[in-house]
Amino acid sequence: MRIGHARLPVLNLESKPEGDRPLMKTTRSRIRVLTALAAGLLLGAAASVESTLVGSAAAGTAAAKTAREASADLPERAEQLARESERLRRELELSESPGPVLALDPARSRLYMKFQGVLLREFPVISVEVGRPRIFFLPEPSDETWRWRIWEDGVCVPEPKVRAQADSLIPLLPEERVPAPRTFRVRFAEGRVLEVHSVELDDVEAAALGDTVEDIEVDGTAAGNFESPGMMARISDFGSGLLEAVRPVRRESLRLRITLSNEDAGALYRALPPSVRLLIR
Amino acid sequence: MMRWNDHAFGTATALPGVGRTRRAGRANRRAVLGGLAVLCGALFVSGTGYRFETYRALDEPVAEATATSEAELRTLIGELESRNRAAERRLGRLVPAGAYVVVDRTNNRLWLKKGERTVLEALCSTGSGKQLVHEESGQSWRFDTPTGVRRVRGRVEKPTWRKPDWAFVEEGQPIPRREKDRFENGVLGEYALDLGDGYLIHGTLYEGLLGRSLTHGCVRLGRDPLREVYAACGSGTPVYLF
Repeated sequence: MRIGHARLPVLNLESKPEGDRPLMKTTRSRIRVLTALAAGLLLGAAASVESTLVGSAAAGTAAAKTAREASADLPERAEQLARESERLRRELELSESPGPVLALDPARSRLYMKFQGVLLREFPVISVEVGRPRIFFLPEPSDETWRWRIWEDGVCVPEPKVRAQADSLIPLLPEERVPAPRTFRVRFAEGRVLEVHSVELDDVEAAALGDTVEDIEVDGTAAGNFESPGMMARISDFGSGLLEAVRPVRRESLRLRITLSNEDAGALYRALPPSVRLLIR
Repeated sequence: MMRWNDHAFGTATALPGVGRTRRAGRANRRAVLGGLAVLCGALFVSGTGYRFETYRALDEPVAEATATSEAELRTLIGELESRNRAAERRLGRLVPAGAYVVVDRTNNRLWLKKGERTVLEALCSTGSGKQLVHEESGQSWRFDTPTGVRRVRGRVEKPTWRKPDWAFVEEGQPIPRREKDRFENGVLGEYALDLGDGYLIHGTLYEGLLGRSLTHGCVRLGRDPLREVYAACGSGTPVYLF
């Protein structure tokens, strides 16, 4: 009657005997349960030891892999840093300019006007396009170093002209005093041209353009639909491009076309300093 | 002879259809050639000029790394990182730490900034660009707002204007001999910030005319923006004019 209790006193699995159940059966089942538990414990311990061993081995392998990858990435990292270093060198060089300069950041769709490293004004850019000359579908040799060099001696074409004040007591507004054309160009040395197009934006579009710097796609196209330049502007651009391409001695090697809102394009046109410099970031 | 004449006459009369056919053939050839020329011209025009593509960023080519071993590469990376940090510090130091003012004199806008942050944007009025000549003395003045960097030299509350000679010449009045006849109160607004050489940032009695180029070189601001600028800009604050 007391075998079970006597054999396994410390486990205290049962505080009181179970009435009519056969003793032997109860004891066997207890033994089975205990065996299963012990086996489970042993298996668990073994598994934990194994996992620790496997884990440490895996960690060692991962560390070695990371080290190998880090070594493999070194040339790439060095190149990236060298590029960054070159960009910073150009920014510093630009900041030493005696007058205001321009910096175009196509990735952020912004054109910055800076003076000695200080941001004077920024213009949201709607699109950035690169135009290369061609004759009868055959591309002409064009300048491919334009991205990584400071563009020098920019001159605005047509030159901004101050309109004479009419005999009125009220002076003209800036946009009346120096009216800006729908398209103007800034001609730099070595035949590089920054062509500025302007489009009319409604308030919602203008707000979207001003606020969504982070949403602007990297290729330089801002979110939202904007009115494209007018037909006459297109024809005029086409004609000037055609004439420039067939000119015996070409003055241009590349046109970088940016599109700004009417207001911004006008403000830029009026504020452009003589012999301006430009950096493409 | 008769036959010849007949023949000759016959040529003229008997073959009118042939002549028309020839003329028509020539006209057709001309039309085809003309069409081809137009087509070639159109092709030339459409394939000539500038071809624009959306800008795509490309990695700048870098000079081939001279480092060959891993150790050399690590040294190069260390040097480049240090150089870039120094360049970024130098660029960062160019931006004033405190408040500063930017004036776009061609578009008559003023910004009050702190670091890269714009605190205030306001309409202002800058120099008219007009020239005034005093016929008696031959002296002339051009009313342009200067460009470049200036610093606030001093600040005045309820400023009094000491009228320069041109103010009297412009009004057609004689230039006063007594200094006390030059002072005028209340025309410069609540505050004035001195930028040197007689140029000020000050208020105006005619806020409706802000945004237009009409001053004698000073920068005029409305009452509320002027209060903010006065409160933020102490002596030595940089003012960038472009």
